Amino acid sequence: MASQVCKFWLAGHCVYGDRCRYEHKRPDFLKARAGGSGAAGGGGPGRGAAAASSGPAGANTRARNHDVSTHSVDEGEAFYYSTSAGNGAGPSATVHSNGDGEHDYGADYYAADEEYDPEDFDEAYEQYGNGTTTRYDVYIPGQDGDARAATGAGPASAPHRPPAAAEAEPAEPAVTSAAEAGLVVIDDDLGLLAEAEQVARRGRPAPAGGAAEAPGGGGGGGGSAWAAASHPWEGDVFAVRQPVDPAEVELCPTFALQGSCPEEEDCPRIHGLECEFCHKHRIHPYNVEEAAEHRATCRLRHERLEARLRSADVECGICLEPVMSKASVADRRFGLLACDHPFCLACIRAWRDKNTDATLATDTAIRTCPMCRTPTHFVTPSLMWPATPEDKVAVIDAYKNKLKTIDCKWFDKGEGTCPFSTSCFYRHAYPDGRLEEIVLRRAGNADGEVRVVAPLRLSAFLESGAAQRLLAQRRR
Amino acid sequence: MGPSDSPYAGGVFFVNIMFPPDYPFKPPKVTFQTKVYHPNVNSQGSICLDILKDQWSPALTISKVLLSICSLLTDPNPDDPLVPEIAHIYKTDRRRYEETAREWTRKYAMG
Repeated sequence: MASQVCKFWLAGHCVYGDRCRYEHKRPDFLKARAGGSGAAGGGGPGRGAAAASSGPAGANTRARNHDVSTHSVDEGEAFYYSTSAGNGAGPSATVHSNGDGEHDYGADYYAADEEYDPEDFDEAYEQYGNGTTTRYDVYIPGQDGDARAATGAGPASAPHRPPAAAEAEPAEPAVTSAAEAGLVVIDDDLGLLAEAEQVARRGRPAPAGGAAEAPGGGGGGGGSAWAAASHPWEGDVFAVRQPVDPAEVELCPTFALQGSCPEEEDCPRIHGLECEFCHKHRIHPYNVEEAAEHRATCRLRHERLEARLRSADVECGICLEPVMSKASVADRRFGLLACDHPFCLACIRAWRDKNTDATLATDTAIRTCPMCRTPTHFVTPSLMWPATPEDKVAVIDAYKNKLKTIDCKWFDKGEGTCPFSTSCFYRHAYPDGRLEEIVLRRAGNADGEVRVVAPLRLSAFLESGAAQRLLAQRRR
Repeated sequence: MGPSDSPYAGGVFFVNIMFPPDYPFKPPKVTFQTKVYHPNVNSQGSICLDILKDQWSPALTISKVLLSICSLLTDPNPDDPLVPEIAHIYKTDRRRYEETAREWTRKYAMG
């Protein structure tokens, strides 16, 4: 376990502390990238937003940047860099430039660790590095400043631009408003207004509507700041690649489980909405597919649980025990008949299949429901007791469909004959995969009535009662 | 206890119930210990009842079986008799049948 890095520690806190069985060390490849200075970390996608929304106090921003958890790099996340514009703690160190002397801003947000020369970080490390908890705090001048401008974050926003950034950056207005930023419009099914506002307050990407409203809202401009930062190309300032879609930001696992997160607003991950089935915050507000998937699986699980609970008290009509309380797990199955009387699969099969006793009537006793004597031709195994006739039909159909995929042992891939013929539930296929074509034999009489005749053998005629009588008469 | 609306009223009839090893998939063997004058019960106490033979169902319980036997005492089935003589009397001379049944009950099922 020593080789694995504790992801809680990477996320900023680990309750086990020194006793944790995972390593509290930054992953090695980051150290290499960072020129061996040790720690590495990255701001989440909400980083820029967090900085912008943190208000006029730059120092506050800085403090947060150190506290806040980041995407753990070992999870294959893109590496993010936070904006820490103009904070007093160490302004110049946050600026870094690439080899040709130009600041590469956009790349910060997009798999930046692939783009940057490790040397770029050294400076930052030397400033901040304490060997364990240093973060990359990379200033993204235009984005940050403009984001602040867009959000109206207050008078402090412009002055907080660090001098180095101001020099390097021609300071074109990248994006003037969140609306212009051309936010990725996300299906608004999930984006309830309150939700959008909440997200905006958190300083996180918000659906277009919410973000557009945020600047007007004054203080709560985090979402738009993020948006501005993530769409810098809109202003033709930055030649960058695709933005980080909020849908790709993963859900905060802590919040999903507990409904609270120690990072609160500064969590770089998305705090999901509450799932109506499992009541955990597992619904991704932006990733519609993921949310739908979670709902679907959760609903299925929920329905299964309900069905189990419903089935728990249902007693078998033969052994009179609750089917779900049988000692063996394999016996905890229902056998569904044509009527609605519950039986254990084992009991009803024992009654129907193993009962070769000639003293019992086959058609009126064995092949009927033991409770109501409804004739039933087959028993369907079911793990739960179906609540509605529709459920029952679904279970039976699923069972039949499954049997259709299994080769019939009587038919034996064309080698044998199946006594069940067209009524057989199993697959009648030849070795080449061709299905058996059943040609029904029909017999018509003079009145024009046609009926289907079972495959006939001469012996069937000779052994029949009528034939026997006829033969007996002849003999006499 | 014999059913009140039958000539067996007031009598206490003992039955012997033998469970086969594969009960409830096989019917229990139920026989009268007390002598009964009935078209469907013979002198050995064997009972001719369809649910104890080919129409047995594993969902049947002993109480249901005993209830069936009680109703058999009230309504004999002379068309499927075990004792054809009694069935014949039952069909042709109901009064004589009832008198004999009452007498047997007094004789064997009381006291």
